[in-house]
Amino acid sequence: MTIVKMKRLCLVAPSAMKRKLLRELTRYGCVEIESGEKFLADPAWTEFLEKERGEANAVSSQLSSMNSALTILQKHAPAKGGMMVPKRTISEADFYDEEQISNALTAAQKINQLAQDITELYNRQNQLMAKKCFLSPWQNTDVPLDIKAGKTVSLIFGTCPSSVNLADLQDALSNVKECKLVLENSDKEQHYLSLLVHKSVEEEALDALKPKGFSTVSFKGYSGTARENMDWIDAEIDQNIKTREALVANIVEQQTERQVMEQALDALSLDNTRENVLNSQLYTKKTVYMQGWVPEQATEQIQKVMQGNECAFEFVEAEEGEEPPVLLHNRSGLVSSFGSITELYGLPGYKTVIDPNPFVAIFYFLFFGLMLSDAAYGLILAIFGFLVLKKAKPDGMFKKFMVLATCVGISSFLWGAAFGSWFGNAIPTVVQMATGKEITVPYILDPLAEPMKMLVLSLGFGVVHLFLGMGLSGYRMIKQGHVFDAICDILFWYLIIGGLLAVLLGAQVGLYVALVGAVGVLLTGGRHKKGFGKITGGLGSLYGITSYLSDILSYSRLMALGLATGVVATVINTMGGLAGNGVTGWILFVVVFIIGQAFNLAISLLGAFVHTCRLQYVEFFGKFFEGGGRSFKPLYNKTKYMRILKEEN
Amino acid sequence: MEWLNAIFSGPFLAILGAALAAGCAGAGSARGVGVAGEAAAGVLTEDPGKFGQTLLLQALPGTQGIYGLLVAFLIMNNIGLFGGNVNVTTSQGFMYLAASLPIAIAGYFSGIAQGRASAASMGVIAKKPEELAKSMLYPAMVETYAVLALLVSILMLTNV
Repeated sequence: MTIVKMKRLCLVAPSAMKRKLLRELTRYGCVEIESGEKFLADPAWTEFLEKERGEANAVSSQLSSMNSALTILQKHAPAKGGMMVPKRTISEADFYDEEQISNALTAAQKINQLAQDITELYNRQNQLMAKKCFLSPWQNTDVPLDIKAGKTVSLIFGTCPSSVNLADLQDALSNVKECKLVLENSDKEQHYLSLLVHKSVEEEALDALKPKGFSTVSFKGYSGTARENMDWIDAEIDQNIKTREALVANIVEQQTERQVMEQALDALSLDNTRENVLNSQLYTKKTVYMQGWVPEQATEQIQKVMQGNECAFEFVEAEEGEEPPVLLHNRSGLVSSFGSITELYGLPGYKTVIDPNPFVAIFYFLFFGLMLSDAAYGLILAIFGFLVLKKAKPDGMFKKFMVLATCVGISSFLWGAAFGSWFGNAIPTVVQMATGKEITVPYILDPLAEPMKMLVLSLGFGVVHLFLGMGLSGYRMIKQGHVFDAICDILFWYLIIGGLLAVLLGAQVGLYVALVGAVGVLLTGGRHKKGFGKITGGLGSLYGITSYLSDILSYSRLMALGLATGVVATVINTMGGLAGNGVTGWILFVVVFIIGQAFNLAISLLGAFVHTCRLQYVEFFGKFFEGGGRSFKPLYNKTKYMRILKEEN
Repeated sequence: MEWLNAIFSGPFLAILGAALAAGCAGAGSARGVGVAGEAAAGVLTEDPGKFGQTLLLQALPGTQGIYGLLVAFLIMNNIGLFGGNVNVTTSQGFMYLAASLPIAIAGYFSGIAQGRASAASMGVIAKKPEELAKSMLYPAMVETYAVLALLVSILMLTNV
């Protein structure tokens, strides 16, 4: 039994202690607190509950301010190292240090303010650019834009489409004597014009021009000539850019506070999680009621925490019909890393008898290597995974995946070495290019030369995998007391498939074994049906042989993907070697080799990952897996930058 | 009737097979990757941080093209095209042509279908990025048939 037994925890705590209590529970990482909302519909509860539950969450806005400040800082002054930098360690007392956090918040506010100033400067610059665009056609006009032309004369600026002929405009004005139209500038779209006109005929002139597309331009708010205006705009834009640079420099200066801010971000995000939990709990005037789940073996530890915080509490068994969350217990870290593959599919239900992880671990290891099947690729993967583990000391899901990468890298290395594949046929190719001699790398089986052997190996693995899945299903049936079902649904099928395989391998006796199995299935397949269904049900069950056949054939992908990796690598080497044994030939080879092999590695990794998962999920899990579990989500120190040291007390 | 002889010559038929394998499977992948890419770009407009995940999904229908290339390469290698000394009888040529058909046909259609499944899975990434593994399985189910076709093509080729 590897699914951890859960106890329900019910507790009443003094409201004053709630934050301290949750902080301590977080430290152990083994208590999941549920939302209390389900009780709110029950009048028996609401009767004595406070309407106002919890306070507004002040931490959340601090958290988002810290988040945006760190994002801004990262943009202007990127942190060095990336994923290879391990988390810093810190004691819990230092981690929640109020002074540090308030320092960090000050720094964050400063950065956010600076970023806001920068945005405003950008907006101002855009406005200025637009103004400049508007003015630039008028830059040769040497009268001030705000000119008051006097009591009797008006100066009007305007534009008309460039398709209009200037002579037409002059013609239109021929009836208006007291005016003068001057072309100031033209571009692709428009003519820019100024019209000097006596006030008495101003309207007449405008009316005459209007049908030609003339429209007036207003320079309200401007003084001086267009040129002068553009000069000060240019000057302000220059100043604007300089100010922005100075502000960015100010932001970059703040990177001395980065570590404090990162720590504060972690502390605030944990506080925020706890505040959210607290907001969904049930309150009376002085106390808070919480419900949750605790793994059975952790109850003693949690009991101490409760007693230290003046809580009234009890641990009770899960009620009938209640689904406790699922936590898988694995003895070895290696198996639990492969367990992440199971978790990607979905957790087994709480009452599951079988823990699939050890089997997933074995076959994931075998199959991934068989599909990648290149010793050099395997080495690259294993070394990469190992280095990340060593240098960055990751935790959680990321750590599991890195352990996984290291393991399947080793598996690929072993399979690749067995098939004599090192970057495909890179070694013979290079030797032949350099010396002209033909060599072969030692191998146990060449999949391309003996594809039938390889196919039998793949399908053989498939049969073992499927039989194991069926066996696990049978084990569960027996464990639940359905021995007869186990015989009908598992044993008879073992006889049929095993018998047919024996026939394939040349043992005629297998035929009789298979017949016994088939008769068994035919007779019992309809046992849950009524009347006529008892006969047709057996036939229907026997027809299920097609699904076993397709399941087994599905494992041929083990061979196909392995071949694909090797042959594509060989194609790359061949292409690289086309230019022969000269200086250019070698340069071409190196370039093609590096780009091509990197591409092939990426594509093959993706293929191997997806198809290994598929074999586990569809063929293997399909035989026995009972899903539907909800994962156990305890409060724990989930941090991005810091590792909080556990203090034993 | 020189052209008739040219058509029924072994080398031509074998090369035609290679061309079909690489061409049809490649075309299927191109359409599949294209369709998936269109959906991926849509997801990215909302959240550019999902670039890596959508790229993974987009790459899935690309494998048919590689399988086609692989079969084409095997044919060219088997008939000695790279050595410059092509010696294939007409009946062998037809066999190479036939052996290229599984991956050519299944590659073309499964590439497109897988692309559509990938595009639909982009919706999963848009709303529930943590379910990447599950969303990758739907397109992978389609690929099974391309893998089977590849296998048959290879088994045929190695026994011509």
